[in-house]
Amino acid sequence: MTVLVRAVKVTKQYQRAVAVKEISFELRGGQVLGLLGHNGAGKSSLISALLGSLSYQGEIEICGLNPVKQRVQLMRYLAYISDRNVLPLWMNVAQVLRYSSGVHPSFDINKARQLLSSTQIPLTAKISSLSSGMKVQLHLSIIMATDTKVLILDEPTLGLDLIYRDTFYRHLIEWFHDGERALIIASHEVSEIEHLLTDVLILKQSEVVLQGEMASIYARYFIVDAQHQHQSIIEQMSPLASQVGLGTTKWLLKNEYRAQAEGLGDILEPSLQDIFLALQKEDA
Amino acid sequence: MHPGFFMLEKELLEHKIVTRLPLFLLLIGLVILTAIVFNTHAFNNISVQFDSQGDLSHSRVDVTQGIHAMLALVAGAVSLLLSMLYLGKTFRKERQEGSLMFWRSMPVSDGLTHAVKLGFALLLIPFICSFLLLFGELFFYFISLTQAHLMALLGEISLATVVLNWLLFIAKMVLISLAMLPVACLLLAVSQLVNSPLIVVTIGVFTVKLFSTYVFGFDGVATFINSISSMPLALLTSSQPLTVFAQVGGFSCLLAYLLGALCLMLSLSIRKHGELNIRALFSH
Repeated sequence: MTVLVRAVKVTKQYQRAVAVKEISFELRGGQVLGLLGHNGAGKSSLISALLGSLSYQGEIEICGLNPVKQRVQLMRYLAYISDRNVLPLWMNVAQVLRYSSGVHPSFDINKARQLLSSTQIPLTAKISSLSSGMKVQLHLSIIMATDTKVLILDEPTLGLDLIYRDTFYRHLIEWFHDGERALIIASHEVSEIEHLLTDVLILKQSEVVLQGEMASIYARYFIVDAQHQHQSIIEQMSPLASQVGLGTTKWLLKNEYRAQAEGLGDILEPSLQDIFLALQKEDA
Repeated sequence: MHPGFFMLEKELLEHKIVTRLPLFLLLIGLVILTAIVFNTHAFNNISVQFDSQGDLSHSRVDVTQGIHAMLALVAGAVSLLLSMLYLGKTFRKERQEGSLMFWRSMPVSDGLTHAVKLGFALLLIPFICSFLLLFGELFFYFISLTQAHLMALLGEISLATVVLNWLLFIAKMVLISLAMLPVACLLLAVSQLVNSPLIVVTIGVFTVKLFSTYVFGFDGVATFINSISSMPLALLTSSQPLTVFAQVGGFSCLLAYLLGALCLMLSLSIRKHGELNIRALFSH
């Protein structure tokens, strides 16, 4: 698979603060990167840099193109959906489709109409009159009707009900598997996107605290569900997090202590959310 | 079809006042004029009185020319007002409503976006407003054909004269647009940074004038600003528009266009980098 996104030592510095510090990653076709971090960790600045709407230090190439210098060519293959509606509210659906067909060389208006026909979005509806879920659906339909190779999603399902979330991810997965594409998903709903991810990049205070393939990240940690009497032994293993239960405590530990911990209780596999929370709280 | 066509169409849809205000004024004007013209008693009672001394053999009251001048003044003033309002609003509105990210997600260059916005403000709006003049003159043309008693007052109006007057008005508006170009570029740049660009520019210009005159004791800046800012209105009211450029002077015009070019570069840079970045302005 070809490299679709390449970021090398990307740094964004505002006058008084560093928003993103030396972030590097590569994303190939078929990969889905989860971009995680608490509010203010630098996710939005990194996304803005990837979209070419913010100047930055370092190197970014998406589909072999520079997001700032070659934005026009790049936007044929790069798309973005965020939690905030970016569609022009004063337009109706037919008008936004007509505009997209006029300025986007690879936009297939018939495909967009066909995709929308399976939804409850009428072409005559004003965008301002659509619900949040419908707006996201409309935006996704516009993107799916283009030759987008890299899609960046920033909290795409925030504020959507469960049915819209399900529909959104179903359409997204269908579209994703329909070609050589890469996805970047930034979300606080870690458990919601975990099953989609092939890779993860966790940011904390502008820096990367964890990065890699999902399988390798799961292999780095484990949970031991041990009785309280083993607390002093486990505390010597530098646990990343603990969750007190009835009679037992769940400890998140690094894999290097697995052999030592096996006799102390049940060994469980951690979820991405467990790891994410532990890393965010670590030395907080 | 060129993307610029769809972008102009989008501007027309977004800024409906550009078509609605001239249409409203046209309808109101036609209704009032119709009421006056068909109130035959009023016209039967018209009397013209003037005092003069000397030879009266070459004197005559040119009502038609007066009507044309009035229509041209109204159409031109409406065009100037709409252009200024549009230039101050267009980028600010995209930023405030959040649709900026959507427009930037399309493969359209910042240069084309600026060209379309300047073309819309300085060419399309005056062209739309020119129909105020055209339909006003056509109204008087048809009145002169059907109302014999008004023929004496209006004089002979030919269709060719109506069309010629319209074309001359368009030519005059092109000159006004040329004169407005530096201010238009300034407004595009400022509107990307502040929420009230017209107020900021007005206050800024007054401040610069006051500082240069009363703090530095140099009134050259104030003279330059006065001559450049009064050019559009002077052109509109002048019977020989080209002489206005000569009165302002080649150096002032050159300086204004150089400053306009700088503002355009600044505006393009802000659009490209999402922020005011002086270093980026000169690095590409």
